Amino acid sequence: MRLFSPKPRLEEFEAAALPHLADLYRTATRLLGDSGRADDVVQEAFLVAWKNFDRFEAGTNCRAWLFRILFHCAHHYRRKWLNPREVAGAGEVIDQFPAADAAPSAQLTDQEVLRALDAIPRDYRAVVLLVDVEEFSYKDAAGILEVPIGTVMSRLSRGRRLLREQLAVLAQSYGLGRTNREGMSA
Amino acid sequence: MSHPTFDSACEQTRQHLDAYIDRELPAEAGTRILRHLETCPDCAADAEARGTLKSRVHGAVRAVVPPPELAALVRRRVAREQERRWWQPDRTAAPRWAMAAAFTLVAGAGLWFATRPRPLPSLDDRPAQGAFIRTISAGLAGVLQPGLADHVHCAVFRRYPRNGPSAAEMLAQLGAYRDLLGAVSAAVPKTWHVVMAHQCSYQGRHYVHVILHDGGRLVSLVVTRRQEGESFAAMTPALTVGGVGIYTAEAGGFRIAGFESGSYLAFVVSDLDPARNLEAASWLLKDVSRVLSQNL
Repeated sequence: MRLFSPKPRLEEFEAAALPHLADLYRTATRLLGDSGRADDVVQEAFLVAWKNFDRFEAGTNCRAWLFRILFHCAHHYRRKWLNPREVAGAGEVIDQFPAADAAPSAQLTDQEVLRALDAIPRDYRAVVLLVDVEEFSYKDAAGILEVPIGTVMSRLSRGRRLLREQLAVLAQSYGLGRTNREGMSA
Repeated sequence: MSHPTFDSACEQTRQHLDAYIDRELPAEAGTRILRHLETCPDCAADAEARGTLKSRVHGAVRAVVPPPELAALVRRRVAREQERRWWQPDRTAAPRWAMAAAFTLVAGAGLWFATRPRPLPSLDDRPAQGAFIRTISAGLAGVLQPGLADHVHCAVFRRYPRNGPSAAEMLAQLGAYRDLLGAVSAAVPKTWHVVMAHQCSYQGRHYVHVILHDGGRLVSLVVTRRQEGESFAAMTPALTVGGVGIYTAEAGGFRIAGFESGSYLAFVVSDLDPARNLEAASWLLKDVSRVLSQNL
């Protein structure tokens, strides 16, 4: 019979979780569109992870577990602090843009790529972040987002297409690259 | 030369192109796609475009780095939660032990309340920052308080970015203490990076301050002229290096290691573990004292 709960494994938690801090911060920044909000949500995510660390099984995927918590925290943060229109996201958009099969222009800067990424609906952006940036498998991404793998695949395909369209429009506005039609072989 | 028609093979390939790029296809299906790409320039161009997009997004997002103090903030919040949780009695404990636990809790509550880590005030709330520093310094020996105050005021609240000013700018800001920058950089491990070095003031007191970053931990070297009545004489040194005592304490989740150098007090303040913070002070003591002896 124990008088107190088992001593928490603080050092073990720090060793397992803190190496993923930068990954979580980057994702939170892109999900919330603001580094200050990302600060808050990442801290909250680590706190939730620590409170539940007893349930985390050593040897399983700590990074995926942390990302799952991060997405929960980001969802609650948006509901609590952001206005409903912002929470709703951009919805189905951008079909007015031309299809884009060309590669993004090398002349576009990282900031412009980020701006295009931030402009696509959040559900698609989340999958692109998990698969393209954080290099999670479809299965892990599905587990993190709590959706079927098929949904991950369709959101990824749609998200990448929207992103290419955004970048094509941006490149055209700068007079860079080719339009879709010019990019297609005859 | 392009492929003559956008046939079913192309359609099937494009359907699976994302999964192919992400290496999510079974080997056999992947080989089929690869063979098609070798013979179809249109699909190959599409695959290349998708791959380029993936790598551009990857590079652009990963270029974003967290602020250096974020890891320290996370550690503080977790430590605060750990302290709170450690004192919670287990629900399965026997009632008599629960009574003993409750008694212990009440007895320890005052001590815990006085020493618990406090939440950091917001960055733009200067009065709250001042109150925070006064509160966490309250139980600290007076001679150590200047080091903690400047570290929290300047390094913790200001959130200097990891890629701070150039060495030339920092040397200019250090002025007569410019040799400190080289001395500190040479004394600490290679993984530690100087994010700011300057002269600053807090509550009317002048400081020379070098801020370092090590994998998310903030470490300050704080130097200030010793004022009347300030002395470590009443304390017992945790370590003596070359006959100079290093005196340590902890407050508000921060570790402080201080030593005297001529007419100066020098402090290493951080959220490192206590032994590491003391070790850092021992690395710096000799060279910092040498530089300060040139500025008597």
